[in-house]
Amino acid sequence: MNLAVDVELRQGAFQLATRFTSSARTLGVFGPSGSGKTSLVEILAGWRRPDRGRVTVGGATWYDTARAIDEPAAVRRVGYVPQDLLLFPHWSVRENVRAGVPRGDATSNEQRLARSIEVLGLGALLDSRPSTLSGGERQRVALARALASDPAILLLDEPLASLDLALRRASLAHLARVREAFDIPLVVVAHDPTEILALCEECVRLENGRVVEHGPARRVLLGAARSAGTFENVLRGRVVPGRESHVELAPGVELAVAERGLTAAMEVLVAVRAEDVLVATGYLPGISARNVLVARVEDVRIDGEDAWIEARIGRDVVLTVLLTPGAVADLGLARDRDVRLVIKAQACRVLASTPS
Amino acid sequence: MVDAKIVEALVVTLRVAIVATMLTAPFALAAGYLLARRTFVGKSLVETLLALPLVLPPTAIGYLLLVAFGRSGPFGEQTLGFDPGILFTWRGAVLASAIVSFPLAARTARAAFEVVDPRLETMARSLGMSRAAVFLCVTIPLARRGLIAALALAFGRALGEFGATVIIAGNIPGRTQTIPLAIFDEIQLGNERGALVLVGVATALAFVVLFAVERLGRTRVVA
Repeated sequence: MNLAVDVELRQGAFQLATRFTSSARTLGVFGPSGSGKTSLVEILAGWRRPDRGRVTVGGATWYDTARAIDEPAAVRRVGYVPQDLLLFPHWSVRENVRAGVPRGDATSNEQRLARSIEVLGLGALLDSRPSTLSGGERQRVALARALASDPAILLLDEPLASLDLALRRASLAHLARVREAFDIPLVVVAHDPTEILALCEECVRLENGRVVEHGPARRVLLGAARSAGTFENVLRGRVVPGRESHVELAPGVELAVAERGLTAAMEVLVAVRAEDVLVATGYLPGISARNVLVARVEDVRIDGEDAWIEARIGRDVVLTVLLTPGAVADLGLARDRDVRLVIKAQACRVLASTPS
Repeated sequence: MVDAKIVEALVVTLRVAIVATMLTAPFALAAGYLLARRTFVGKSLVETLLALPLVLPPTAIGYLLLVAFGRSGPFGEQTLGFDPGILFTWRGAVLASAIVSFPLAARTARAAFEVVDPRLETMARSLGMSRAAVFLCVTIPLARRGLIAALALAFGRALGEFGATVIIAGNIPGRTQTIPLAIFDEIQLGNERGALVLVGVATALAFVVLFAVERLGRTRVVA
């Protein structure tokens, strides 16, 4: 998307001084609450004016104090879904989604509108009022409205934070569908690393209004996870036809999951906590765990009471494992050591599944 | 004879109150919106000035209007070069009622607009709606309940207006004599029965208006 941001904003004691450029199609903005994530998104959307700086997106300058450019939000064509969604309570779902449709040039707008409604599965809800919808449904309406506006970029602020666990899964699946169905650059703000891992290739980590890390999502979030002492691997795969409790992560790499209702060839996202993975160096004669995967240790990092192992399974799958330094010493784990990773099927949590 | 007088007074009252409400409404909505949404230097001064008619004796307002529209006043016949037709006409009664009911309507409208999340307006703007469209299609409908209450209160206040009206419009039966003025008239004449009937009519009118406001305030308009 070629997003370039260099902005400063002072609000009382808080100072935002954020600077990065990204050409990723999906960018996560990660940070604890109060780190300036929402301020940054509102600056991108044109809802908040920085004191100084410059925002360019794909060659268009949206904001530049030096050249006195400040494009209004409507001109920027930003599909912004704020955390509180801001649906119009006095309008039906149909009217809400239609509110996003640009004026003029009828056919392509109508097609986009119909597609937004279809991808987000809103067909049966068109005549409902927002107040009668569930949290997940409301979010889909807000997404459809943003998509119908023909956005140059989609900004999602904490898309899953306000939903309970059961709804998160469905919602994540919808977000994944939107990402595949519409070729629109996506910026996702979240304080939960798993959400960003599930949706974004690249990630910017904010702390106190500054970018402290920027790079591939997995690397950035792992850095943050190490200080938090916990990490959830997010793996992408496809349900194996004929054996519906198995997900193929890469050719020859399969993961058994304890999950009903998966059907052949579904695309799924599976989360595995780093602390739920066991490492074995020898032969395992009889074991109940459904997953015993041959892997090679790529990195061992001792961090106080935590030992972080990066293990590669096959060619394309990397799993982060959290052990104690004592376990690493006893097993003599080191780079290039061949090991077996043991994971119970129950430890593999399906985050989202979409029919492909 | 009493009945004809009551009907006349009722017609004058409704006519004055309706036109006064229509006259005050756009100003009250504009003032309410500005006070709810904008911050500016001297805002509290403006708020105080706008509330003044609420506290001033209506007779004082009537007198000020009388001076302003009197022959040599700033809006009088001599200054304008023509008779603006305010003094001792039903238009004078309308003006008096409109001014007296303005602060009530403006304050209620302000509260109604304050309930509408300004971020919804920002969202509508960023989806490409014009300022006017946002105001008409988002702000007004969402503030609707409170706005209707504002108009009903202005109407109710106009129904009962006495002090300012009697001074600028006089007490002319069939022309400027509203129900409050007619009640005063009957009491002066010692006609207790006539006064009681008029009080009954006034009570019925007030009841209907207040009941409507109460209903609108309570009913969740499923919007």
